Amino acid sequence: MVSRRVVVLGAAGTVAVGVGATAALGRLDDTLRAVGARPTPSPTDDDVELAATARAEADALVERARAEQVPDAVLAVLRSQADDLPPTDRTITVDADTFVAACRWVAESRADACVTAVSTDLAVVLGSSSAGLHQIVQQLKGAAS
Amino acid sequence: MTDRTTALNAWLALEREAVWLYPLIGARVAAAADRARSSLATHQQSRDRLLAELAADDTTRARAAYEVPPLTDLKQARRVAQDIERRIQAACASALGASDRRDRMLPLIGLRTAALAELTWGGTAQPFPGLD
Repeated sequence: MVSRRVVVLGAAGTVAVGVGATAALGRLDDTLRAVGARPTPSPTDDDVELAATARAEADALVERARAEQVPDAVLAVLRSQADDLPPTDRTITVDADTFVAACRWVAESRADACVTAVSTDLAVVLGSSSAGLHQIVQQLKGAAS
Repeated sequence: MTDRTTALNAWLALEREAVWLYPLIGARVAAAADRARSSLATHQQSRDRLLAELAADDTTRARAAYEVPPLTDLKQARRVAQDIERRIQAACASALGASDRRDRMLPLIGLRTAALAELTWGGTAQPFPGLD
């Protein structure tokens, strides 16, 4: 069962929260409502920027993963992260010597963005994806040792 | 009680469960004893950090015992450990969503810690730990 959370910064300027199926609006939404939290209805310019940067970084990692032929399971995780972030035309070069270092760098970038975001929903997605990238780093380091 | 306090208490309840669970894993499955000891130390730290954060707002109490599925071999130990780490990830994600910007670091670190802990028990990387 996949209950994937997606934050879309739409052209209408609203932060739409959810996934394909209504049921998959997610435990998090339910939890957020249960504790009284509400999505921010209109994204700030800074949040739009954070989301675009996150997507550009995600795309860069996918490209690098393809080029360096990392395991399919890792590539699938990276693709999934990228797909669930709003598309952007921006491109970013992740300046790191190794693929693991690149993942670590982006993980830290996402963590920084998480504590900066105004929207709590965006913060959760960024924080969670940061944790996922740290998992990839540990998984690849474990495979190499 | 604030939304964040409620979310942190839910997380603390799971940390208390983990502190109860890992010695049991170590005692019942010798092959997992070292890893269980390490996990116990990590969760004791998380519990204590949450206790300090919540102070008088701590509304949880450790139970005398928790329900545990069969736990006699390494495979079962891994499954049980991954389960608690995943539940903690979800609790951290909820706490993150209930936190203001200045308060996000604690649940963010907790989420990362639990996500990495899941890997040490045989889990695999997920796109969005705590959310799926």
